[in-house]
Amino acid sequence: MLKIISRFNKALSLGNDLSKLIPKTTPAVLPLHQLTKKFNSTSVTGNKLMEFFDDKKNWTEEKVKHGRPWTLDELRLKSNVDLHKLWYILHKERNMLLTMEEIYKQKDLPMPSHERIAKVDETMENVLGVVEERNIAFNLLETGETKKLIPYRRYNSFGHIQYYKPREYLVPWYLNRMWKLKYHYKKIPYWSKFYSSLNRVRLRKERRKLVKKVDYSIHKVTEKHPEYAENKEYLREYFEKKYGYKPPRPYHELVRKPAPNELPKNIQERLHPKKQFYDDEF
Amino acid sequence: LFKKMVKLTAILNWNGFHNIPKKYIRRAMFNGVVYENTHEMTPPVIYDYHKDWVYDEFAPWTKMAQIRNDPRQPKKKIIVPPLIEWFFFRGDKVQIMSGKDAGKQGLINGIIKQRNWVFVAGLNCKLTLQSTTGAAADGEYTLSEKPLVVNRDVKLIDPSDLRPCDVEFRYTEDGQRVRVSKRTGQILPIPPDAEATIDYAKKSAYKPGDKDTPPNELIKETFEPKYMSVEQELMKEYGIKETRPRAETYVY
Repeated sequence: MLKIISRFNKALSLGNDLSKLIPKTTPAVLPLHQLTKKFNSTSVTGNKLMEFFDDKKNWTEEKVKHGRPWTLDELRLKSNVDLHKLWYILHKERNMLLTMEEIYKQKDLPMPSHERIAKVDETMENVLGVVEERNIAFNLLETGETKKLIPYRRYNSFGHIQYYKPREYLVPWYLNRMWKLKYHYKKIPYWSKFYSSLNRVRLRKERRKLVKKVDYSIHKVTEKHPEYAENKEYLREYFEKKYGYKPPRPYHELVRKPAPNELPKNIQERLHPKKQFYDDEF
Repeated sequence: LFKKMVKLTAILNWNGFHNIPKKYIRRAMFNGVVYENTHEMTPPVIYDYHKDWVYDEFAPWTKMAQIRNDPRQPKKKIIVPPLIEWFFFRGDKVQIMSGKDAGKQGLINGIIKQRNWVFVAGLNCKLTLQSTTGAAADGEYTLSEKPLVVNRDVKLIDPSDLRPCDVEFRYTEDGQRVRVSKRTGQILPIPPDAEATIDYAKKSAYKPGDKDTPPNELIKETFEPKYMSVEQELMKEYGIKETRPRAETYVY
């Protein structure tokens, strides 16, 4: 018991100087509270846990005055260090808003200006977008590729077409047991042949429904507004986009392997160098 | 809430909601999914709010709009013809061509682009009786505006003639895109009410708050491009050094 108590007292006596517990071989990293002190203009006196809550004036109001989110053009002017700092300001603001949301929910009261959360989320997405752009530029200079993980269509182990998202793994694919069960396609397995043929019929039916919906809507519009009868292609494009209709890909495109000369020359769409030759095994 | 006064305040700020993020509107529009038969005796029935939201005079996050779009009840199919260009802004002077108030001129108060609707201030109204509780009390009447379809019932007014005209977008010598009437060639300026939102009536009159960045710092340029990735630049600034060799990873 005495040994445990002594360790407990040691931790208490350290207080905020937790760096003493960390061994000296690790690199020196600036802790968060020192980063935020530099640009936090509001003077934080007293309990720092109150940063999780809004100003006391805003607790009973119906509307809180706030601005608009940052746009991409405004964020592209800033350096990477400024973006790094902005991210943590937004992170703290988001935590504050989410705690307030919970409190108002528990009391069955409406939260004043709930759209602040959506605006903060939008700026955070824009910051990530700018960081992505800058990394893509660096990657294009170093290697000729963007190193962007674009989802593409491929067959999975069920024999069905899937939008596959490439990811980073520590193990190659032929040693990854779970990946092989899900995604390794040699041919349609016997246990899913019946299902795959029915699935194709289902997809064809859904596509046919959308085509009929588009035709019906064009017919209704031209009934009441005969001015649109001349420009039916414009209407067709509009409604196809609205209802999410995609025309079916030709069958030979899916089955046929593209020859190396037919591959797109655009850098972003270049395939993995091994995939050109071992497409079936991949 | 129904009152004796004219019900215009609900639509006054309906200007397309360009100030509000779209995720917030989409999230408030539908409550998600409705489950029925949750007693586990019969399989549950699932209704989705997601399909074909019908826009009405009520804002999409209000309860009346969600009641009208209840997926458990039959919905009328509304197909709206698409317009190539939109010429109407809030605060414009227009003339009504058909209906009860045909021939009268008024200002636009509210716009619903999803239905090609326009609400004119004080015109094309309907009286509705709202009975109060109690047997002996008289009912209250309320005036509410009815919507007007854009190309059929409403036309913009030429400021030189004060008569209805057709409008087109053209470019001036400076390169600005401007509305012009086809008949006389007079320019129709966009009214200042068009930029009004729930937060402010004029952009110039908006005063930033405590957490808003002032406009001087928005325009400041601090970016210097370097031949480094973003993470490498941050490591250099904060003095972080990595001597451990990086492990091999596979991307597939």
